[in-house]
Amino acid sequence: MTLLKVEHVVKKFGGLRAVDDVSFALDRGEFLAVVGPNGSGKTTLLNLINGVYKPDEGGIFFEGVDVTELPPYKRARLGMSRAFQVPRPFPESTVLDNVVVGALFNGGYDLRRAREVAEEALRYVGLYDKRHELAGRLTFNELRLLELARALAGNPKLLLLDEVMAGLTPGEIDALVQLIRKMAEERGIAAISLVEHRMRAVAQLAHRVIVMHQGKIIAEGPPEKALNDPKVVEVYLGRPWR
Amino acid sequence: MKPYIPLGIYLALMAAAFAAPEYSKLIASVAFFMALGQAVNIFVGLTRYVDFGYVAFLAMGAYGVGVVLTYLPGLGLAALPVGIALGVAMAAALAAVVGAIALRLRGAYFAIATIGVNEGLKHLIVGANIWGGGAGLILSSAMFREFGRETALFLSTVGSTALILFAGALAVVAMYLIQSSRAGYALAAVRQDEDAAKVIGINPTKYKLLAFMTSASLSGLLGASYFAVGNMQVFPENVFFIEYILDGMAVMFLGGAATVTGPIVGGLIYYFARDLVGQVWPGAQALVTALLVFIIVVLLPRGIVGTLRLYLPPKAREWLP
Repeated sequence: MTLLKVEHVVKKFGGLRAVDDVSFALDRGEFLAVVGPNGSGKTTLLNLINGVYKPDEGGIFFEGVDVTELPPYKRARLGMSRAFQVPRPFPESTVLDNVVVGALFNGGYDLRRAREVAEEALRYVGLYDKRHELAGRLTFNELRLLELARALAGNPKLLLLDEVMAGLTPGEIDALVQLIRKMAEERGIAAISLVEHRMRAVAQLAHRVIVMHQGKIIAEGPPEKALNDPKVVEVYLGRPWR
Repeated sequence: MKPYIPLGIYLALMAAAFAAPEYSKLIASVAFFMALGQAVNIFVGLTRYVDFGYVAFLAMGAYGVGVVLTYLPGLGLAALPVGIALGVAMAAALAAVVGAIALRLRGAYFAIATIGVNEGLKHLIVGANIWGGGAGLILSSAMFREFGRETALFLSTVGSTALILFAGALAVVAMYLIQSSRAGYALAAVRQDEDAAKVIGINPTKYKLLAFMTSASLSGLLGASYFAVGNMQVFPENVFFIEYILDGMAVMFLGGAATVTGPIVGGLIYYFARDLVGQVWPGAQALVTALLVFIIVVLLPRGIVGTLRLYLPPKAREWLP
């Protein structure tokens, strides 16, 4: 059952076609990894999906609804949550209040219910004990978990993860991958995760991989197949992926 | 958050104005800065946007009362609530128009876009000779006629002071209602990271506009109370005096932006510091208060109440919002 459909999307910055005629579909509960080197158009694609940018050509459909012209906050209310590459907490608010914001606006809960949902999300990612601390005092790894909790509290159908593994230790990555998989399986949340490095995490995580290069999709399929595609190996990895 | 301490202070000052009418003008002068800081805080403190056209809201309030008293004779005592209502409505309407256009801009761009509002309106009134033009509206005879001499004099002293304090107390209530609702969470998110807030599903313009119109309405009430009722006159040079927004922000920063008790503390310090300097070194008030604000902002960026709150246990913090 299709959740998200991206059709022939083009985004130009001046003369640069940052995303160049990209089409793909995503099912409910599906985990998609978008792989590509720096500058390949991954983040632009994510920004097009959640509405930070509007495409110059093409359309984006969420649950069959054309969302191409909707601003980000309206797409968020339809069920898209995003975790940023560099965590974007509200540093002067408490950890709990950060997550309450997600439950209130992304999730559309009322104030009392939002608090309960937020506390539950914090328990889920293991930050409940820090709920009264200011978000600005958390470690980098904890901020990642906070981003996930905030996204989770928004009761999303689609989770957009912007290179969330970057800057973590291998142990932290393993824990995060487990958590994201658990979220997907238990709650049927679909996810699109951008990956630049850390192929090991990708292989564990994704049902399907899309490889981007210079704004175009150059390979698509299950992780082993897509990442070992000769074209991908040639233009991106340089040598076979182990 | 528990709003009882700041509300209690406004009520106590109101009682003092009635009990000792000879001090009501002094109380009004201090309370003007408190209430101005309180109203400015609802917009500038909660959104961290700066509006250089803000003083126009004070002017709209003052002109509301002025216009009703001058052009609608025969209303009697009803002229006061009708005039205030008109002034508040004009302030809110102006905020809606300016906000709907300019609040889509970010930070500094918003500040620049609003610079012209205050001066533009002043020159419109003076140049086109609207509402008394440059000569302004003298309200004393109309107030004597409509209210009777004794009542008019009472209104211009104790009445005006009570109204100014009422505006301050109302701002505390508004702040409380905003902070304990969805809007409070939305504004906290927007002022810390507007882009992240949008992605989470918040419509920033909507909540900025809410804060802007609330703040403007309170300033309209304040302008009506202080200039029209208190001074019995509305002069464009007075009511569009652009320094009032600097005063309001100074009071807010001294006490602590986005705190509720802050503007009360800031207003007290700001008024008495200016008064003291005025006696010792007349004419240097602006210079010295600028230094004072500079020092506070550098050394205590959270202001006095904001800094105090950092060191209070959570239970006590509730009581000092």
